[in-house]
Amino acid sequence: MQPIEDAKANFFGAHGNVVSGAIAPAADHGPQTLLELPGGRIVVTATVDRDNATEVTVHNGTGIALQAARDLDGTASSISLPASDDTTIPLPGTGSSVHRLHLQILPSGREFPDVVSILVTSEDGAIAGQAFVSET
Amino acid sequence: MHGQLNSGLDVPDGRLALVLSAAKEIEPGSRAMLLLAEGLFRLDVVVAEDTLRTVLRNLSGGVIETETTLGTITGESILFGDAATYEPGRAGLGFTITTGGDAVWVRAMIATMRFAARGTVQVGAQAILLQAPPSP
Repeated sequence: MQPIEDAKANFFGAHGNVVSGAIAPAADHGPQTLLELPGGRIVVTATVDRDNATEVTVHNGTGIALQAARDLDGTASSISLPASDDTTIPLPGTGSSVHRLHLQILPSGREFPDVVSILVTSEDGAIAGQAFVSET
Repeated sequence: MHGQLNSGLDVPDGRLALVLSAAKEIEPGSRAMLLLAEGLFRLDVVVAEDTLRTVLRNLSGGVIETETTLGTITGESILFGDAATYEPGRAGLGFTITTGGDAVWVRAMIATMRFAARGTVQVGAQAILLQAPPSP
């Protein structure tokens, strides 16, 4: 067996958490937590209104704005998550009954050293999510 | 399908670093491309009952060496709400791509959620690629 090279073994990504969540919020009953990253720096909640329209809210609990790449039902863009604030992303109310949101949040200095990818799938008010958190 | 997102990461010594993330919802037994790093590798997945099989295709023209050490990603699996009903799972994969005198280290977290009503499994991944330091 080859000896382990420390520099290779310890490069970032060696420690990572996977957070999974699923909710079925009652219509018009306010936000429900779908995912909360360790330390509470990123919290994802969702609401469903009486027309089954779903909104996903990403709370950036850090003191700095975070840059993220976003893909919503196949349309990619870049967004900024303002410091200590919420970013609300309405899922489309038309087309397929299944909607998919993908966010890739990039690290920013010591305050947010993690690489985070968030996957949210919504269908008829049932919402499932998974987040990958790689420590850098 | 959650489209693949690719972003560059800042590394203090200026080496190339990237994060790739994506997810596919597939029927058991079918094979799907999960991640593509142009000119480096393609990662396919197959889900069969409770087994996740990964297929790594070398696009680099060099050598890929899979490594148990790089694939060992410590960390937790955290569940919120009704996540357990989606039978979430996780795995890790690590490998080194060497072409000539250059090498890239890759470490990927893979996670699954089962959508029983649709008869599908979502397989998601976040991979971090880091250029290895020059050989002394």
